[in-house]
Amino acid sequence: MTGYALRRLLQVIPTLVGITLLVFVTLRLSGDPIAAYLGSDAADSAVITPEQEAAIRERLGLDRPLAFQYLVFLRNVARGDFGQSFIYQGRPAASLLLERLPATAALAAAALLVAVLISLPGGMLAAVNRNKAPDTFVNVYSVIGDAMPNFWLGVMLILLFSVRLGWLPVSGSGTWRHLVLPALTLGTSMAALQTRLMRSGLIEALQQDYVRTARAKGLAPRTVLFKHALRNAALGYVTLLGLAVPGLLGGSVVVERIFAWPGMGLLFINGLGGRDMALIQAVVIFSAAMVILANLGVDLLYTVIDPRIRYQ
Amino acid sequence: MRRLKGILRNPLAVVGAALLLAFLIMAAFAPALAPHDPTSQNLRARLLPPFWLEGGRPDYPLGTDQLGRDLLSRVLYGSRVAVMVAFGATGLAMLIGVLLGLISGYFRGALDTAIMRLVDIIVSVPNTILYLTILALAGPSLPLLILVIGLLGWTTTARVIRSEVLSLGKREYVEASRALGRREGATAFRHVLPNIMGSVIALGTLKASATIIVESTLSYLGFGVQPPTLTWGQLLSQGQQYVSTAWWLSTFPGIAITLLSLSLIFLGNWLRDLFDPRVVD
Repeated sequence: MTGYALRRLLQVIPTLVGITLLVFVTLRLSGDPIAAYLGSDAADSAVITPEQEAAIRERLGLDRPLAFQYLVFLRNVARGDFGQSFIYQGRPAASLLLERLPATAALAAAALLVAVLISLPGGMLAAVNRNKAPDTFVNVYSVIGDAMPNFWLGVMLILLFSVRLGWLPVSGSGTWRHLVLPALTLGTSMAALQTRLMRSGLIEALQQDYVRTARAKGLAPRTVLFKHALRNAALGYVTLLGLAVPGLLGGSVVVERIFAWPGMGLLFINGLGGRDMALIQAVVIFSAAMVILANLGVDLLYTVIDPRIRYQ
Repeated sequence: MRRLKGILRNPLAVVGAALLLAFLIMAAFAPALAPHDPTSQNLRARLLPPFWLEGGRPDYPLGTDQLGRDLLSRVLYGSRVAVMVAFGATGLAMLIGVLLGLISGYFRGALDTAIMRLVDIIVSVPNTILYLTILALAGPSLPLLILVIGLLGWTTTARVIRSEVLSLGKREYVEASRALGRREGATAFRHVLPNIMGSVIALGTLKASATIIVESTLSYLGFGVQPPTLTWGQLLSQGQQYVSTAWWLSTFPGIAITLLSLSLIFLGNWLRDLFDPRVVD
């Protein structure tokens, strides 16, 4: 177990290096860092002399070879130093990110709760009543959930609950009531896939021999479902929650924009608008690290939940 | 071909095909179909509701926006970017995904490891964040949008094709072709590829539906195709500002996105069941 965990951890390193390389190359290809450093207006109106520019280049290490610059970048990233944000008056991008993190974490947790509350009973109802009315209903929901962009769902929820009924605020943050619509938007759109997979996982489990045996020995259907089938279907479901992390992170960018929810996603959009390299690279690398960690966590959890799995 | 006629027995697939055809016609003939120039303003007809509501006018069937521009015409024109990106980006992504998946699954070894490691790297950054970063930094445009989604959106396809090829690799006809001394590349393209074509088509149709959502999301956030070219995402983002007074501005563009995406899902599900009867559903 420890050996496996260690090996899995080592495997993560090339992926992380690959991502930092990807980010470094993308940011460098996208324009002169000097212009970004000074802000595009300053660069356009040529407020600095060539000598001053050369001095800044030297101070920022931009006169060094690219490979050397990449190593410096890597060292800084490893220290959690993503550089200074220029749209937020030179504050460190890392601390801006940390400040916004709780809001995004709250949104993600609430959305995940919504998704579980929909997909767990939904998938079970559909699997138990296969090809009957509840199954059809769940199928329709999951297809529409896939076809409907979540930003539109968000606006429609605003229209219904904020404009028409006046129950919930249109946007912003501060109270739990501000969190309801963003969490519903993110959670229901993610639940479509999860419901489908819960359903097919449970259908598969219900066809296994041990379920037939349990039924044959006269156990109550409820016991068979919860104690025998569901427990085995849970393995796939847990994986799914780990795989939901990229969806939560990407989705929070959209949902935070719809509802002006002041999290990492909104910070990222602001960074993009201002071409703020420090902020952009902080968010990209942080998200990638979260995704990799989640995948790692799921793999390790697997060995705990399912004792049959032994990695060599 | 005979199998394709079976579409008539699947009502959802028929609806999907009809809807898709309608959207293709909309996109191709938007200028002829639109009742107004989508950019022409009429300040005496601002924020008109759809025609069936009080105050609506039949010459503006879905109502108008804050500058008196006809919403129906704007939605019609918006279909063009959606259709172009859906076909262009999905086509490119499928081409790369199938090719790399085939190489990965058929030749295995170091090439396989390299390709799968690249997939790991790309999927580590959430799609939305990856696309937004590149588009925002390079300056969003229609060709770039298609390139970005096409060049980065092939990972799932490559994984699925790889596993299909892996399971085909041990079949007798593949072994036979190899035993006959045919070059490896020829075996891969003549014998393996045709046998996964069905999955490729089904996968591509479902992927096109996801591409439509991605395109509209990017343009809703302001980093898709830029004005004056109209997109559904832009219309929705503008419409959201008037959500409390003019519901139609944020409702109809969303219905358009959902219906186009739905049409491809219906068709894709039918194709998947057609080519892959093993799937339990």
